[in-house]
Amino acid sequence: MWKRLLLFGCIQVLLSTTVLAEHGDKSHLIRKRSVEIDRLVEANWTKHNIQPSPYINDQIFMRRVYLDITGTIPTGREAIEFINVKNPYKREILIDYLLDSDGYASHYYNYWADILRIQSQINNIDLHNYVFWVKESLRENKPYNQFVYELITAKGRVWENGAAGYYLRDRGMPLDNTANTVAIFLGTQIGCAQCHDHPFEDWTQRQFYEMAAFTHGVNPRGVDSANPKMFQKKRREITQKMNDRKLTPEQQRLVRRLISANVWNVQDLPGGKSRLKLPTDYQYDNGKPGELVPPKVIYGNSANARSRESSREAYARWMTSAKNPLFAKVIANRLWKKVMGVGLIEPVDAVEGAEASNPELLEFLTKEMVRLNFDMKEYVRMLMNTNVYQRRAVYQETLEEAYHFPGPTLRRMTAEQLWDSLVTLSMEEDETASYEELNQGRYAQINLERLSVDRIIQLGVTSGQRQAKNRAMMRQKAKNKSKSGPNLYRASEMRQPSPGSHFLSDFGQSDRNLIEGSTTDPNVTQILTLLNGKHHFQIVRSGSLISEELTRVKDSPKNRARIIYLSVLGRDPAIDEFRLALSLFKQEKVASAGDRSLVWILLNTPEFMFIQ
Amino acid sequence: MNDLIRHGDEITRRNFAAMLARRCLGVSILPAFAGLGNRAWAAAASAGKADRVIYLYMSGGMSHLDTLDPKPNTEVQGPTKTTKTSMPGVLLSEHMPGLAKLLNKVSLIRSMSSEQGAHAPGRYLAHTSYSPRATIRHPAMGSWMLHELGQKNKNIPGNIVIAGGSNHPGAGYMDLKYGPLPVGDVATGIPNSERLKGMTEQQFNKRLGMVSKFGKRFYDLYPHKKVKGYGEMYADAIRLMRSEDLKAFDITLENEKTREKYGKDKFGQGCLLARRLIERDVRFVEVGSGGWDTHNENFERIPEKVPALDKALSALLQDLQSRGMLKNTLVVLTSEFGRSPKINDRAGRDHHPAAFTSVLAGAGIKQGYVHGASDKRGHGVETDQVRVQDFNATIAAAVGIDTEKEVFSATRRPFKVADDGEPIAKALS
Repeated sequence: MWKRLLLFGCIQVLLSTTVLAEHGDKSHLIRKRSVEIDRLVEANWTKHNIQPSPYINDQIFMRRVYLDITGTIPTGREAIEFINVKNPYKREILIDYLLDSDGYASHYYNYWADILRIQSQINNIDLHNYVFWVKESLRENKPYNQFVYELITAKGRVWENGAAGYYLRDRGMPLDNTANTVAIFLGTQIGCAQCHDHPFEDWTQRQFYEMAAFTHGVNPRGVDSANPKMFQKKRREITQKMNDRKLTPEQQRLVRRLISANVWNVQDLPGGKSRLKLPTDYQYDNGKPGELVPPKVIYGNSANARSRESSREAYARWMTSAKNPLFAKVIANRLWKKVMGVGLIEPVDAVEGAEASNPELLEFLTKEMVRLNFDMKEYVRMLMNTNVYQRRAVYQETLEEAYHFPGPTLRRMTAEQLWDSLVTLSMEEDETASYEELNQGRYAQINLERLSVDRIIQLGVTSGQRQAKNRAMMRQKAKNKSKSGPNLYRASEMRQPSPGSHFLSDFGQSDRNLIEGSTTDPNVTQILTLLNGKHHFQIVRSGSLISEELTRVKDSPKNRARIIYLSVLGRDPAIDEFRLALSLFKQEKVASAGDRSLVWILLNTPEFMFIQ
Repeated sequence: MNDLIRHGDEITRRNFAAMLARRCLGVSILPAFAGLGNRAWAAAASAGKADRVIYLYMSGGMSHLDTLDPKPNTEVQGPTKTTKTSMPGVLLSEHMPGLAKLLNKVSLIRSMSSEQGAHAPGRYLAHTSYSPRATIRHPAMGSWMLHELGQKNKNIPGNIVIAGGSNHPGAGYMDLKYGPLPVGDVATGIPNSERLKGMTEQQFNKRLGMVSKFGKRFYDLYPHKKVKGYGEMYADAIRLMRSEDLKAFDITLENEKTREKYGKDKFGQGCLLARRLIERDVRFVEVGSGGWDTHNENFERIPEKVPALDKALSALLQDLQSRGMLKNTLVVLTSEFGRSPKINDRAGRDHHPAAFTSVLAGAGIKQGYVHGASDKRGHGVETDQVRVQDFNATIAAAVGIDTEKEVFSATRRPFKVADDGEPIAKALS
């Protein structure tokens, strides 16, 4: 569950002198690296005659770093606390603090879910545990190379090993899975070569097949493969019997889910050997149609399996090795983009063979990634402590010309950042059960071949009873809560992806069919939501976070304007904006009407949606 | 201004893609119609008769045997009887008396076949002409319409999907602006198109006026396209809110008799809404109808589902005709596949992509024509096979989209409106 860590007073404690003394050493080390990054960025300014963007003030910085790390704006109170603190190191300390909060895992989960195309459920396959696994990996700050190794080598049922979701997500399309793996982790586009020699690059179709051969031995349905006919028959008998016994559709669904949870079991074919053959219409001289293809990597040292190592493990070892020239480079470039807005190479999944806009910088960053042992949090910390990150965001129109980082780029919030920010405005903390918790399914491991049809049905139905009970309990809890306020979850705690006409999909959340399928393009539906959406009621209802703060300063219009500005935009109003707000307040007879009006207006200014 | 900006984007990207394709493949993008085959020529000749489409999608796989292609006196027919139609010798299911009368106004495509036998890829293929790939998302026909023909009524979105479910391919690789506006519930119309409860028009306008004042600081700092684009999108949204055309979404404005005529169920009312939208120059409206996946108790479900479809479809066709709208409107009825001639143990029919039937009617389409045939049992195609791609190419030809034109995805891959589909020349008028 997502919990906001920064509550009243935390920052003060954090900024106390003892913490600062400890902080000094660590920050010194980080600063040395950050200084080197700045030196390399600045060298490029001179070369390309770039005028750097001015530095930003603490308030703009605070909002940016909250959104960049935890995926939401700060509450008004958090904003005031930060502003009031006088400490020369407070930016660094805030970065550290947020990186250690739960918000980090929540926001970076959204980021990876977009890359990995994560869905909570595919047909009858329950993939919630895959969702959990990715979040948990981020929460414990699992090194990136280990994260990828575990995905590529994942085995078992997804509810036992969440990483198995990586293959179940792409079940039935192993070649697409190969193309995606190579694009995401090696920044190499070989997808075209799936059907023919690559038109733009050097990859041949044969090379694609050789690469795919490493993981082609993966069998996502480990159970029924041994005796598919018998299993088919059994499933038919189960269906027949459920109909005969007039089980409700819900009961039938539960039985099917139990079966599915046991059927989908990622295993390697015996011996870990691939049986990939060239396609029947293979048209090139370097192979015959239908010929068996041995696994072979497309570049670098060969990935020969060591003893007791499956071909998949050899492949994963080769891929995630610090010696693999692309592996570290791709993630260094990807996370640079995450922080700064544009990659040093674009697009980030076509790094192979491409020239970076600042080759020395990317080389340094790649080395740092290896030196940090693929510690993603440390790496992000280093980037955020650079001077260039502390500069005003620059509007960047297209990617046709190389960008030389006079500052980070201006970005619209992602759908998830917008949603989570509205949640932050609406309520203090989400204590109710999330969709994810409601659906956290544990299944009995059953032997489908040995158990009788009756027994399987019985187990399915009873497992469902337990789940149903859980759900009823959660629903009741949610109901109790909703008496006092809305029942909202962070985007990372909701169904993945959100259903069709949800706020999140309207604002561009990926439908998780394509790598980084999310978008920040505007459309009319979004604007209608911003103008007339129900969230306006939640944000200004009595008992909401803003309302509570406002009731404390009932009589001071100046303070009211300040609270609203800090809550919505994370900054103090400028003098002319103060004046505007006060005249707006004067026009309303009731104070709360003026408040509502100002909140509505600020939520509709573009400043709210953009990360400066 | 907004249009200029958005259009500008598009041109740059296309030019870029074309430039790349030339350089890498040694080809240039052919001018329209330059490279068409004979059949496509014939199709092109009739191009452009329709400029808007109502696309009725039967999700789950509609049984052709119990609707448009019955096989009386065979063991595959089951209890569903037949009825004579306005076309001598052509029979329809007894549950389709309305369409039976109007059959001489439409084209029946009785030799459809799909290469996809599962729902998700079947639906995807039907909507996009491509099989699903994990590396690309293809746009559906509605997005192609907007992309190629442009938006006709600038006040309301030009591509709308009513009750389409959540897995619609939408704009695919195209710009989001070509994607459909989803209308989940016919009763509520466009979500959030009305002011917040309790806010008067005057208050709304006042607040809007204030937005630009409070937003000034940011606009001054970032006087750029994407930021401005948002501002201008506000203009679109407010124009929509204030537009008379928004009334098109309010089916309660239709008289009760008309509403009854379409059927008061979700699909019937969806068809009525589609007519109202098309009337206001919306380019493409899809209306979904679920529940066709009759693996169980097919012969109990058919008498529930088919009469409702028949009622809505015949009301729609009549309504369009009496309003003179069939002159420029194409009506399509299709599904991801048909259902098996073999009746299973549960009195149901299973998925059957090898043969099924679809309907085309209205502008650009021949009247009273039956294309192709399935075999005696409705199992396979006997004559004039029409693949899903060919069917979609026919739709494209009827609305004047060049089926040979290549559009490039952001990843520089070339795609056509109906993949390699060829229009059914004989079904085009």
